[in-house]
Amino acid sequence: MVFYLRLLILALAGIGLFGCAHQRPDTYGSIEVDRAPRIWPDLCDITIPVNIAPTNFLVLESGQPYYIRIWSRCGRPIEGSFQSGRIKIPIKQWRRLLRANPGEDLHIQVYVRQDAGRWLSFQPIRMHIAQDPVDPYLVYRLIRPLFIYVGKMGLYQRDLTSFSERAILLNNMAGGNCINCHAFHAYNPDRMIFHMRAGGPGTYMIMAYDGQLAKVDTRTQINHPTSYRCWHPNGRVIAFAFNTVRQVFHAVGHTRDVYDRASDLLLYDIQTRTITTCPGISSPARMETYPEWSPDGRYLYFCSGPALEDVNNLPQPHTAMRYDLMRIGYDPVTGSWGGLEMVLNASQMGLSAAHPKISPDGRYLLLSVSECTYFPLYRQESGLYLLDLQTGQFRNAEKINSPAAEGYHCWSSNGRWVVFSSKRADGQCTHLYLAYFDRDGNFHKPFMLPQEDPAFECRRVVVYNLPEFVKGPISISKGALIKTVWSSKIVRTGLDPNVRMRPAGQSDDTPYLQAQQR
Amino acid sequence: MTEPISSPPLARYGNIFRLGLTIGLLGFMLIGEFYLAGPGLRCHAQEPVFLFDNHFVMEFLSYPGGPVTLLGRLFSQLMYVPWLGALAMVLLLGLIGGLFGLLVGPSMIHWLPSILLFALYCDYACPSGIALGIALVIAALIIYLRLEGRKWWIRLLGFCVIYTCCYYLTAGLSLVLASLVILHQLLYRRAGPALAYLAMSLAIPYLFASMVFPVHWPDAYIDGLSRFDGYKHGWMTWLVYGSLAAMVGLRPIMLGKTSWRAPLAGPVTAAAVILGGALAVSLCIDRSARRVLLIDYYAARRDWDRVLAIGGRARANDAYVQYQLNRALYHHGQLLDRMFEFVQYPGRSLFLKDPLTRLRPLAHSDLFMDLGLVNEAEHWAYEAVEIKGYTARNLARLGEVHLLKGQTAIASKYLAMLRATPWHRRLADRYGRYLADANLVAEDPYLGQVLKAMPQEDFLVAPEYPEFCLLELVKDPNNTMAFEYYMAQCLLEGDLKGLVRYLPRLEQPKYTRIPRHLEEAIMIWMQLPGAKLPLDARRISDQTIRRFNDFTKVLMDLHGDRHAAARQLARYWDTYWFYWQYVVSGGRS
Repeated sequence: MVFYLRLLILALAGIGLFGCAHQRPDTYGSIEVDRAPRIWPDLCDITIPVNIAPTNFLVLESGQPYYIRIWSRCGRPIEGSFQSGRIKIPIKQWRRLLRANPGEDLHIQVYVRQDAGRWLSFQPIRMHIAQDPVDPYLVYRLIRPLFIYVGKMGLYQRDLTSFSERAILLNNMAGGNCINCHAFHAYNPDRMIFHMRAGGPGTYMIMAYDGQLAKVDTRTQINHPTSYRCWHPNGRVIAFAFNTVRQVFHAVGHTRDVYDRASDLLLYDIQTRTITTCPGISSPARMETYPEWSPDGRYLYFCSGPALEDVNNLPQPHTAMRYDLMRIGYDPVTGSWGGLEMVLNASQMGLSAAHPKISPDGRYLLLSVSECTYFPLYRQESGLYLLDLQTGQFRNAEKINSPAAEGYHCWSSNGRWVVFSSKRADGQCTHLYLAYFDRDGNFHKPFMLPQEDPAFECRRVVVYNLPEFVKGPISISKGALIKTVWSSKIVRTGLDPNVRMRPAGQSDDTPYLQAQQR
Repeated sequence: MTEPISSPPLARYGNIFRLGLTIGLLGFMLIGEFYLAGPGLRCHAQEPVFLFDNHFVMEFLSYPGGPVTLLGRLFSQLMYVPWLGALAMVLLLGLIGGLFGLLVGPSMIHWLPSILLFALYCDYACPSGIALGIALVIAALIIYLRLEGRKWWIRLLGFCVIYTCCYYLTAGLSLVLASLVILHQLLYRRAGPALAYLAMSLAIPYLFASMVFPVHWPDAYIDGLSRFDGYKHGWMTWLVYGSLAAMVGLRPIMLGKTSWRAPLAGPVTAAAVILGGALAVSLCIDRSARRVLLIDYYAARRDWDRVLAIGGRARANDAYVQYQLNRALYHHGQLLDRMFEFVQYPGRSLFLKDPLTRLRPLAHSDLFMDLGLVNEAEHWAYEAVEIKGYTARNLARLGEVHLLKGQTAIASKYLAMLRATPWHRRLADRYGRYLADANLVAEDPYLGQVLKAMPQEDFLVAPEYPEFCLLELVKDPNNTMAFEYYMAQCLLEGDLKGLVRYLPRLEQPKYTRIPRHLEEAIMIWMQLPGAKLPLDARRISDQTIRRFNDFTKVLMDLHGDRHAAARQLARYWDTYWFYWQYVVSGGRS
């Protein structure tokens, strides 16, 4: 019996050796192809962070098997044979190789065996390993392409150093409602807010603050529930927009656009649980949205567009809704407001500004720009533009833009990486891309967020929404979040007694409706 | 497990009798199921989403109740072939009956849950997963009962393991198992174990909900029990649950030596069970729902003859049936000749409105495809996905709209998903060829028509008032459907000025005469001072003029009192004049 067992093991080992032997290309006998292999996603000449997960990819060249060799200046190369074009790089070896070679180039060589048994050897794909790491976690919302009804969606956190993706909250745990507008204070995973709308547990903001969870009703006499948000660097105040959003549907071309019937800004004080505002950021003559604090907390940047009455007589009013970039001074100690300043008169250039995001060093402001409205991802022409706040230079961030829509970006905490959404893969789904921003103020070629199974990602219909970097994993348990979401204990919001205005035209409705009543 | 009920010869006759009844019952179920499910109605009503894809399967394994939901969806795929689906369903019901046979011994009474389940499945929306879940619950109960006679702690541990597995597989449905086990304990006067099982059955879902698969804790009990895969249970499901409890309640009688056993196992009880089941079935069959479903089924397949045949039997239909009938009339070239043969709902029977748009988003998308308004067809296909998931029809529509818009990258994704469905690979392959060669889209008999009708200039569409799109679409002289729908909309709204504006379109070669309802509307228009007929080559038929004269004479004889004339004018019920008098002018809806 033992003899037969040994024989079997030997036979299997022999088969294995033989199998492996012909899986490996003969470097000298292979036919060299004078181009890089066709792969998905595009990895040629990208810059990757030293701590990123393996950039698994799909080889689109026909043949079988595939042989991959990955090497850099130091360390042992990674080599392996794959029966299909799904290349899954071993994570431990990848990490070792990257850690050994910060600031160096990384090469991937692809060999494919043809029917005749000859191997094709393609030109190596070159990447650059940046010395600067990226924040280890990314939080985003995953949805399907949405119009009016909301089916399944969820908030997820992704470990960028691996492929681990964990749901923070799924909307089927929260009555099937719409979960959106999440934000963090200073990349801190323990200080998070998000909103939920139009569902069983009601329309509220959920706030996690250093282990404490609260269900907050941000409505006051002057505003309905809040939406776009930015946490002040001092952690005490959050700037919010509150908008009455509408969608319009096109007969030809892109299917829809979003515009506001009314929108204003306000500040929510976490300690006093009060809301305040000032005429500069809630003028009935303008529509203010997308608040963004400067890193020193002394300015509130925001987008400002014309009031609906100014454009309502046009056949397509949204086409005339172009937003400028403005800022207003703010004293975080006294809470007093300064003067209003125009930062970028985009409307004069025939453009509309959205999603202003300031780099952590306060030098650059990255924003989405489209021809009109403030919802760039619905507009194919939208792209990312960079404004140098020191020199005032405003330029197209060409290196990271594509012919498809780009938007919803976020700076990493060290200011060296930007994550943004783009529809470049298929024109409909939004994927996340990471781009390196060097010390000279230039972007490098972006790459798609690495996925464990590139083939699945290639055919997946998904919209990655609102990516936000965080410095660590979110420690709040799903159970605690669900309990808070359904809790009847609601933190009410008061109104600053000095605020007397009541913005006109605001209403409590939402453009998104629940698909299933639960 | 059971003892013989009567003496051997009698028992033999009893067995033959029971076998005959069982075969008869299953045969009846098979015929009934084939009638109910044919021609693929159950599948059409549920459109169970199932993809042969690892990630799709894993999603269902990640929450309690997911496995049986997945299994149910796979099972439902069999219903794309009506006879196969009917056979599978009857076998499943037979299995449930058989399992109860094991539980209560040979009699006809154990068929009661299966008969009630059969009645439950008269509701087309009821997912197959429920019956599968019930089969699992009964199997789990039988396994538990095998532990009877063992030490208390073995039974307790056994229940804990069985219940936990059952909870993962069926979610809240496992509470039925717990109830049956507790009932069993109470029948044998074991209050202590019953209490322990009760505590366990309540604690395990809570622990699952708070630690393993976090959900809102009431959902941990409700999912599977009172709703299943989006289906909300009605009274019939509770009756099924009750019948399961009845089986457990009868078990001591059927297996014991009581005087009740023989009558319960006798032919009278069998007849009562079958008659009761038949009554439940007759109560549950909803013929009007079946008719609506049939129309929806044939409309989805663009079988307009059948839509007209089924829908045309009644003059008054609900708004959805009338919507499909109007589509069928158009595709038969009869919309402007026959639409007033049916009760029309101004603003609701040419286009769907909320809540029908939410209930039948893809049917709404279908009309926009017909009209060439592909963007809006895309919009409602995406709404359909949010509401019903990636059903094969939704995937096919998304593939179509993106092919029509030349967006091949996203189209290929939807077609790849369509390929992963069990029955639509061929369609996916056909459309897949269009990805490589855009000219093939123009040559496709359906997509080619849509492509031709697509508007060139952009305009805004109001989802709340979809009929407004006709004002723009009608400007395209080649969009016949937009023209006829526009005219129909003008007729319904009584907008004769808008109607006359586009009348010259009737001089196109594709029209050889003025459609009847347009003639009738023109006759009314011509009564206005200074009105002229903007047509050169077409004239009103003599018959219409004669009928109009007769109609007006009746009214004039009664001094224009339309209420007094109603009876005499009833013979004109299918004319636009009648609609004009009693809806447009009369202000009735």
